[in-house]
Amino acid sequence: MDETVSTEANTRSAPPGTDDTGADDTGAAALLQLLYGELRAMAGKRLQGERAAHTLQPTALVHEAYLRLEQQRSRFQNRQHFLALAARAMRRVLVDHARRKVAYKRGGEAIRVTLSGLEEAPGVVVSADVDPIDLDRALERLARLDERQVRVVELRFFAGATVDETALALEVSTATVEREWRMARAWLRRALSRGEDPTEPPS
Amino acid sequence: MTGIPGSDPPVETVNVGRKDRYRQVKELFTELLEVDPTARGARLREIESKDPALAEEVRSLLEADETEAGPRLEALCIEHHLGPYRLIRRLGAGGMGEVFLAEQSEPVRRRVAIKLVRGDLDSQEVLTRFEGERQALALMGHPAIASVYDAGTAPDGRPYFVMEYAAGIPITTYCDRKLLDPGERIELFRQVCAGIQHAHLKGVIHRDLKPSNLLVVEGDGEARVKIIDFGIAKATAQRLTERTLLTEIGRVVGTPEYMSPEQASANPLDVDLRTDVYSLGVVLYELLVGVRPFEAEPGMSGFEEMRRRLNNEEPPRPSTRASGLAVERSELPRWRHMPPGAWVRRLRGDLDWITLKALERNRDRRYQSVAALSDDLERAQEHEPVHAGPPSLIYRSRKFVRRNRAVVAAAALTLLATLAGAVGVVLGLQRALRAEEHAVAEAKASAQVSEFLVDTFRLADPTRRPDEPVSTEDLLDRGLERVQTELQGQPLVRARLLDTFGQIYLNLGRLEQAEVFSEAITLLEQELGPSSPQLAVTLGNLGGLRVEQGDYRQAEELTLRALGMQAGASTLAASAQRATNLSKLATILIRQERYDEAELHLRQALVLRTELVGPEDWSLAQLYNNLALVAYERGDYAAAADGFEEALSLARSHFDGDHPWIASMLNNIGGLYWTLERYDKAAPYLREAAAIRQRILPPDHPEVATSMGNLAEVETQLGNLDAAEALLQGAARIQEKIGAVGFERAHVSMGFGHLYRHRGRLDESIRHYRTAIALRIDSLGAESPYVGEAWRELAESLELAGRSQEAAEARRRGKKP
Repeated sequence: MDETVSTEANTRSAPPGTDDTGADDTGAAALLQLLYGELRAMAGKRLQGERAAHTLQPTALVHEAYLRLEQQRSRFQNRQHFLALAARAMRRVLVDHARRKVAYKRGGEAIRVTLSGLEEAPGVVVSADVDPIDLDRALERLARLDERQVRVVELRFFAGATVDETALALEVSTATVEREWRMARAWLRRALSRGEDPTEPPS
Repeated sequence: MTGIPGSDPPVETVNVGRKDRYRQVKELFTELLEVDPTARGARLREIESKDPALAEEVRSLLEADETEAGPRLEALCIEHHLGPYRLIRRLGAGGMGEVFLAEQSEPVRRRVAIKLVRGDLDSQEVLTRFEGERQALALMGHPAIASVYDAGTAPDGRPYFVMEYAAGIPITTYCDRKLLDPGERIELFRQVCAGIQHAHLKGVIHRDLKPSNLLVVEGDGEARVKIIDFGIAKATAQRLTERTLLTEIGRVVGTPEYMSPEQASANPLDVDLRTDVYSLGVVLYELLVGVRPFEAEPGMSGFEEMRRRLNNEEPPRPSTRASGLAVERSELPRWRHMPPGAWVRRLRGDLDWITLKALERNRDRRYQSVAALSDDLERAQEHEPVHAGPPSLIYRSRKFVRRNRAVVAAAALTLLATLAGAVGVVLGLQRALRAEEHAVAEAKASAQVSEFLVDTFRLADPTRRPDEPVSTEDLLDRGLERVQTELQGQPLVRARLLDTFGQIYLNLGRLEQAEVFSEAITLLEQELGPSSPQLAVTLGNLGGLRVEQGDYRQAEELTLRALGMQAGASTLAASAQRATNLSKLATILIRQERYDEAELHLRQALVLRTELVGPEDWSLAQLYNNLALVAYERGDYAAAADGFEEALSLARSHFDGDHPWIASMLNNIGGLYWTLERYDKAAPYLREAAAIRQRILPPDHPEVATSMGNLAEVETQLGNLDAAEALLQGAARIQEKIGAVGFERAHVSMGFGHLYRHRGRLDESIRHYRTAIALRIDSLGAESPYVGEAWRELAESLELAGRSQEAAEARRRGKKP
């Protein structure tokens, strides 16, 4: 991959929307677009390589994107700003990737997003999978109830941000992040395990 | 993927209503997370009666929060393979990279841990280094060491290491979770030592020992240590400098806190096995105290700050630090099983010295091998003498100055010794007068004594006109004269009275007159032989006089002789006297810094006196105060705080309002917090102490000035500069008026120096420090550590004023011996 980011390469990708993100100015939209392109290219390189044996660590990806966007860095207000946008872009990259896979090979090898339990006692394997598309839909529904919780989930889950980083990025206290994260997680777990049709508004 | 699908609610108000509802749910959810199940159930039922849907919503969310089933939603990881290894899940992430649990299928099927190193290292170089280390690693075979099997490069170019998987938790977490006591912690720690020692013998240094690399695995009811990451630090060491500790964005990700000074230095590759000894010292410290010797504070630029502190600061003794933490009532879960005082006592001495020896800045003074450290720990466990001893005299005196800077300035915590006699007199006489009927001769003497005293006081009446009061001292002098002239034929009564007068003189500070004790002793020996209860009392009193005169050796001898006669004390009076003598002996021992013996005697006195007067009598206040002082001197600040508070509360229950004891105890508690640099907590105590002294003492009493000086220092520290200035000026005025001695005046000058430095008036600050230096040299000699302290303060103000050459000179003169 080139060190510089070509605008052309970015526009080839599906443009990320700006309406559901809370991005309130074109500057942010452009940055989001830039990140989306970058992350998508990076993820694609790993996920579609010759062999299926690859790792994709969102944390590492986001970190790497940050390094790659060296020359663009001044466009981000700060690392937190970057992180918040990257989390959103990452979510889209993964969901889009999953969608393409599904479209390509219906019901076949839909990418599985492993939700791994870091807090587990060692030796206990937890590998509960969730379809990124289901997760995305659930998040869309949650967004209509509580925007901030969605931002927290994006940062924590898709960008692998720590509680502290999330708090900085959202300009709230760590206690707030922990509270929101805990509730959002419970809400999502419930939504995903009930297998509710996420497009249906709750009764 | 453009925004919310078409199913958006059409009307904004619906959305708003839904959001409000969600907010309501959130509030309840958050509230109920905090409460126990019973309260939770009750609250849910209460809501249910009003709004069943809301209750159900919250209940199901709480269930989802607690459930173990279903998606865990922690952090994202898209699984895959790394060479022949299938990644199962991420175990954790740290400064060096991430660790995964993985499964190996070829050539054997087994679980392994894979460490994926951060992307910014040159993987080729890392792997080359690893190859270099590989043979040595292969030679290691020890149950406490997790083997490193393999290394490779991930498709994205990052190097990774494959290790034996140890399903354990960090040793510090383990010990806290299991509430292990110091002895059990040491046993586990020695397993670590055994593993490291094995590696050292095979020529492998770990270089990155820290709790997250020292895991404890439980199996078959046994806790076994597994040391992970051997060989990895060296392989990745090319940039074991500031860079590896900081990410590109300047955030500290690794902890430099376990690093030895030589490792943190300019040439981090010049390390030998003693770097592991140091890191183990940090881990040991953390296991015993709960915190590391030097904590990186938030906001510090981690590495540089740590380097500076490693090179300039001495770690506080484990027992001292633990004790300070206990005073601050920090959350220390591991103290649930063991009272803080007992924990601190366990650390004091051997474990303090051993830990500090492992943490010696100069590696030549450290333990020269991990085995030596482990052996010394074993000796400590077995209560055998350890090789690590108290630090050298120089080290100790340096410590002394630093530790005592506050105390010295605070005019020392007050030992309530001079009043011991008073308590003894009151208690002793009361009990004596009540309990001695059985001894006829004694009773007779007693009656005569009473008569005589009453007579003396009555006698005063007719001779004085109402407007011309006779002073107490006149009265005493006249009484003593009568004793000597009128009671020649009654030696026992005379002895008793001489003793009583002696006590009164002693309390008035007229030491020469108090020598009448000796005369009383001679009389008692002539009349009653070498051992009698009366003699014991008077011997003890003479001991008290010798204390005041500074002759501790004779004081101790006299008190011990008295105690010998009182060993089998059977009467209440004798017990009371024995308690007084024990307390007195303790005072003598404290002044000679013999704290262990002092504590023993104080505790005996406490038991005796509690039996006599009950646990809540005010007279116990003095014993508690002195016990607390012993604890303070030994650095057991938690026990000291408890003791002083107990003493204060007993004293307050007896004395209404102002009393010198109360002022002293307040001063002591304030001084304690001052020592702990908790100026906010010290201030109220010192303020009240100063206020009481101002009320009950003459306005120009030296203690008033001292109290004002102490308080000024604290006010300065708290930024109350106007108050501090007023206090210092007041103190200076008093000292001027009474011609205070140089040492006390220096105390006030130092106060002005600090104050003006805080005010930014550096010239004045410098002037006052110079005055303080002159006064201290004059009164203490140029070699005194207090002179050195003043030089160092001066140096700081000179530096601030930009006069660096003079500052360097001042610093040189203030250099610790």
